[in-house]
Amino acid sequence: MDLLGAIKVSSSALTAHRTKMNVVAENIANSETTRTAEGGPYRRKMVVFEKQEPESFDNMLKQEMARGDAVKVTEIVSSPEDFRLEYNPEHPDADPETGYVKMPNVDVLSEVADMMVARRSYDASATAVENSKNMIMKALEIGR
Amino acid sequence: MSREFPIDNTYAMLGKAMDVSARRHNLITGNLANMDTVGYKAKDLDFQKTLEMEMTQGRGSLDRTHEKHFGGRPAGALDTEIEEDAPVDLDREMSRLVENNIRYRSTVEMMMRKVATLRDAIGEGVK
Repeated sequence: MDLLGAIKVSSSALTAHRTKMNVVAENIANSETTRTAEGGPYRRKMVVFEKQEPESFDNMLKQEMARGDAVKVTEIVSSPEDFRLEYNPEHPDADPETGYVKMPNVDVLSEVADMMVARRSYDASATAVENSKNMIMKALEIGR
Repeated sequence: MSREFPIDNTYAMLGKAMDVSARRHNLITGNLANMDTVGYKAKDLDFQKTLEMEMTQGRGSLDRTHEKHFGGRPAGALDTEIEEDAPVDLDREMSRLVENNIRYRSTVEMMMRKVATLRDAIGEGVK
């Protein structure tokens, strides 16, 4: 119920969305990568967010009730989508018979859109932190 | 605590109002944090109802007869918490955040003015 708890919740969101930003940046950077350690072209990565449950009953009691739910990145998964085929017979990784190169399944446009969403969410949580701080500072004025 | 002047019911009321606002702030922050969480449902609190409930039932009406008892509120006190059947709407949450913030700040302001009045009264006798 305390306002400092609210800041913690917001900071969990800041971390989660920063992670998403990093993954999006990685996707865009590798949108033309045809060789990876696992073999084959780069696969687009996606983050999965999950509501963070209090770790134990004890912990839950400590936090008491009516607190906001923090968020966390549970996993980063690779997209199973098909690779994009590009006709480029001169490319060293082209199929010698057909001349097509398997390119990563990254769509730069949708990555940019994802980045904007992540940025918005990040901003929202940053504003929430600002508001929490604001409220705490105001409460500290009592009795001054 | 005596409910008579100068420590009257208003202080308790303002304190509780701050409490409820802080709780609501927590829920809104949680909603914003889970904006992109699949399947998350927005939560909110009915300010009016919660405050009424807090004023009539009162927290801490449970006796703590053992050190391991936790200072709970009576069961059902949190029934005013609403889980909406909709995902988080950014614009709505942001306006709630700001509205709640203003509410909290004005409650604090009222508290401060009340303390100032009291202080004035005390000061007059000294002069």
